[in-house]
Amino acid sequence: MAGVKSVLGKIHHEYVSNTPKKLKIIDAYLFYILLTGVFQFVYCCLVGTFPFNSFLSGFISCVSSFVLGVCLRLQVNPQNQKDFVGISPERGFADFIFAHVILHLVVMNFIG
Amino acid sequence: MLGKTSAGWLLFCLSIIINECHGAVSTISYIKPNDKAHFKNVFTSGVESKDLSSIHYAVLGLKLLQSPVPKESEVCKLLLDSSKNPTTNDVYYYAASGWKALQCKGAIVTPDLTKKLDSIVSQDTSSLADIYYASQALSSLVQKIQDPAKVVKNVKNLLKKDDSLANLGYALHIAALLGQEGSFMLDRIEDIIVQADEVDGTYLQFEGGLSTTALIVSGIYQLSQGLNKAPATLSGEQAVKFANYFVSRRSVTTPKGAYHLLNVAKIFTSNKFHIPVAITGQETSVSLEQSLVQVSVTDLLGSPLPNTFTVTAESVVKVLDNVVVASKLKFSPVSSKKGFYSLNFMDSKPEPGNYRFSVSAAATPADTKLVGGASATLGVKVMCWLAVSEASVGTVDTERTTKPKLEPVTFPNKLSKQLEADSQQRLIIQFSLKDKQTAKPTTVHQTFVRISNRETGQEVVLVVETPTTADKAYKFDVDIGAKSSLLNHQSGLYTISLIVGDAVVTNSFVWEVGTVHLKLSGDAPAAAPHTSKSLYYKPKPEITHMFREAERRPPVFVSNLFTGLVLLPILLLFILVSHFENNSKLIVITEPSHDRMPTSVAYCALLFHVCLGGIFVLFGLFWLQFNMFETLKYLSFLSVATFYFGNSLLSHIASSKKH
Repeated sequence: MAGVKSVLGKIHHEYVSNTPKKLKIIDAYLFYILLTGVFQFVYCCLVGTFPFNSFLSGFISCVSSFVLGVCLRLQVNPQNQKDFVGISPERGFADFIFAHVILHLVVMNFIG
Repeated sequence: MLGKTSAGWLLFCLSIIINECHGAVSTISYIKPNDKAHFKNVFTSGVESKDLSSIHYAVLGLKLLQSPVPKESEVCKLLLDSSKNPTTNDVYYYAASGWKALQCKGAIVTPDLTKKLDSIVSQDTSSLADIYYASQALSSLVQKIQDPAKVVKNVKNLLKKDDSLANLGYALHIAALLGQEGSFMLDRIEDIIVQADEVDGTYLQFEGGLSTTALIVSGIYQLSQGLNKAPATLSGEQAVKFANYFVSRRSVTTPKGAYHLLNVAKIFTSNKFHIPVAITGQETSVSLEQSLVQVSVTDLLGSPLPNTFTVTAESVVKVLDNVVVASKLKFSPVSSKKGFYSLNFMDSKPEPGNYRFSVSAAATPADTKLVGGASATLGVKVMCWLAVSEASVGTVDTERTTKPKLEPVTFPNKLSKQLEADSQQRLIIQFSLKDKQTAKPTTVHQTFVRISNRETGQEVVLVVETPTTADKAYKFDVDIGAKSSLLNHQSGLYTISLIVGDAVVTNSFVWEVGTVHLKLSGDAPAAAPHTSKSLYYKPKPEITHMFREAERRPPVFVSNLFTGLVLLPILLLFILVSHFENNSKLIVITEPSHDRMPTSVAYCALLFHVCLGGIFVLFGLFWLQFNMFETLKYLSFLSVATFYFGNSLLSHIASSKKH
C-alpha cells in the first residue's frame, strides 16, 4: 500500500516538476473536455437521448476536441520534437485553432 | 341509278307496311275528372295572381269548367281599372272578355273605348296581334267592326309581310269574326295544316307549342263553323291527332295553356265537323270474380255521346307470344251507365296473363263526324286463383342412403309435427300449383322458400326452381349443411315458409308450411355486422390530422442540473490554469508577457482573441437564428482577420523564441 502510495507520489512529483507549463495547460484542457463529455454521456444514460442530434453534436464536439487537443499536445511536447521536424508549436497551435473553427461550424450545423 | 330506284321502292314498300300495321288512328284518352280538378287548381291560383293575362285566362277557364270564380267583384274592379289605363293593346281584350265572362255589373263600354279599338283594327300600323286582341275585345263588348273590308285588307297585307304560324292563327280568329268577309282565310287552311309536325304517327302539333296549336285549331273550327263550311282539307284523322296532342298536354300548369287546352277540347266536343271518340278501358283486370272487361265511349271531355255504338273487340292478342286468341267479340252496353260497354272475357276461358285488345266503336246509324273510334288499344290482365296440391315436406340424408321421409301437408294449414334436421341432411319440399278455374298445373313467376329463426329472426330466402317437366311439379331440395353459414350456424327452431307470387295471380301468398328444429355445427360468429344496421349507417367519426406526440421530456430540474454539470468543468479548467500560472514562471504561448512585446503585437494579440471569440459568437448565432449562407458570409470576413492577426502574433512569438 505504502509502495503504491510512494509510486503515485513519485509520478505526481515527476509530472509537476518535469512537465512544461504548456503541456500542463493542455492537460487541464483535455481533462475539462473529458469531464464535459462524461457528464453528457451520463445524462444520456440516465434521461435518454431525446434530442438525439443535440446529444450527438455535443458528444462529438467533446470527442473531437479531445482528439485535437491530444494532437496539439503531441506536437508541442519537446520530447517529440524529432518526429515533427519543421513544425513549430506555434504552427501546431494555428492548426489546432483552424481545425476547431471547422469542427464547430459542423457541430453547430448539426445541433439543430 | 339502279340502287337509288330500288332504295326508293324499298322505302315505298316499308311505308305501306307501316301504314297497314298502324291502321286508323284512335283517340288515346280524354280529359278525366282528376285532370279537371288539376285545371281548377291552376285557374284558382291564376285568379289570385297579379298578372292581368293570367287572371283573364283563369276566369275564362273557370267559366268553361262551370266553377264559381273567387272574389268576383274584386276581379271586375280590376278589369275596369286596367281597361282605363292600358299599357299594351292586349289589355283591352283581357278586360273586355273577362268582363263578359263574369257578367260584371255596370258598363265597361264607352264611346272612347269603342273608337280606340276600331282605330286599332283599321290602322295600317297595327300588328296582327293588335288587330286580333282589339277585334276580340270588340266582339266581347258586343260591338261591330265598322269597316270589315279595311280590316281584311290590313290582314292580307300583314300576312304578306309575315305569315308565321302565330300570325296565321290570329288571322283565322279575326276572319271568324268578320262573317262572310272572312272567307278569304278558308283557302289558307290547307297551307297551315301541312305545316303541322307529326309525332309517332299519333300526334299533330304546330311549332310554338300548346298555345299556337290551340290558337290555330280553334281558329280553323270557329271560321268553318261561322261560314258553315266543313274544313275540307282537315281530315278526321288529323283532327284525332290534334286531339291526341291536346290530351297529352293535360299536365300544363299555366292558366293560359290550361284555358287554351280546355277551350279546344270544348270545340272538339261541340263542333259540326269532327267529334273525336275516346274508347278507354275502365275495368282492365279480369278474374273469376270480376269477369267483365269494361270500356267507356266518350267525347274528349269525358261525357257520353248521344249516339248508340256497336263496340267490338276486333282482335285479342296474348302479349307474351303475340298469338291472336279471339276476334270480333261484341261488347254489350251497361244499362246503368250511359257510354259504358262490357264484355265477359272469361267466357272464352283465357289463360292467365296480359292481353292486348283492339277495340272499335261504330255508331248506329253511322255518323261521319265521329272520328277516332277505331282500333283503340287496350291492355287487359287476366288474373287467376291458385290452389296448392300434393304438398309434402321432409328430410333425407345427404348421402341419400335412406328413403326420404316426407310428411303430407295441406294448404293453408301448418304441419302439426315438428321436423328434425341436422347439417348432414337435406330439406325437401314438394308441391304443385294449379289454376283453380282450369284445374291444370301451372307455374308462376316467383317462388321462394324462407327459413327463419324463431328467436333471432335470422333468415335465408332460397329460390325454388321453376319445374321444366310436363307435370309442372315443384321440387325444392336444399343441403342444410351448405346453408349453415347463412344462418350463423345457430341451432334452434326455424319456420319454413313458402312464398308464391305473380302479377297475374290474385291470391299470391306466404304459407307457413311448418317448423323445423335445426342442429347446426360450426362456430357461431359473435354478431353479423349487418344486424346492427343503425350503427352501420351512422356517420363515421371525423378524421383529424394527428401530429406526432412529443417525446417525454425530463423534469426541468434534471435538465438544469445537467446543464450546470456540463458547464462545471470549465471552472475546473480556469482553476487549474491559474494554479499552473502561479506555480511557474514559464511563458504562456498564447499570452506572452507584455513587457517584452511591441505595442503592435499586443494589439494583434488582442484583436486575434477578439476575432476568435467573434467566430464562436457567430457560431452561437448560427445555432439560434442565422442560416448557413449568412454564417459563411460573416465567417469569411472574420476568418481572414483572425488569420492575419493570428499569423502576425504567432510568427512574432516564434521569432522571439528563437532569439
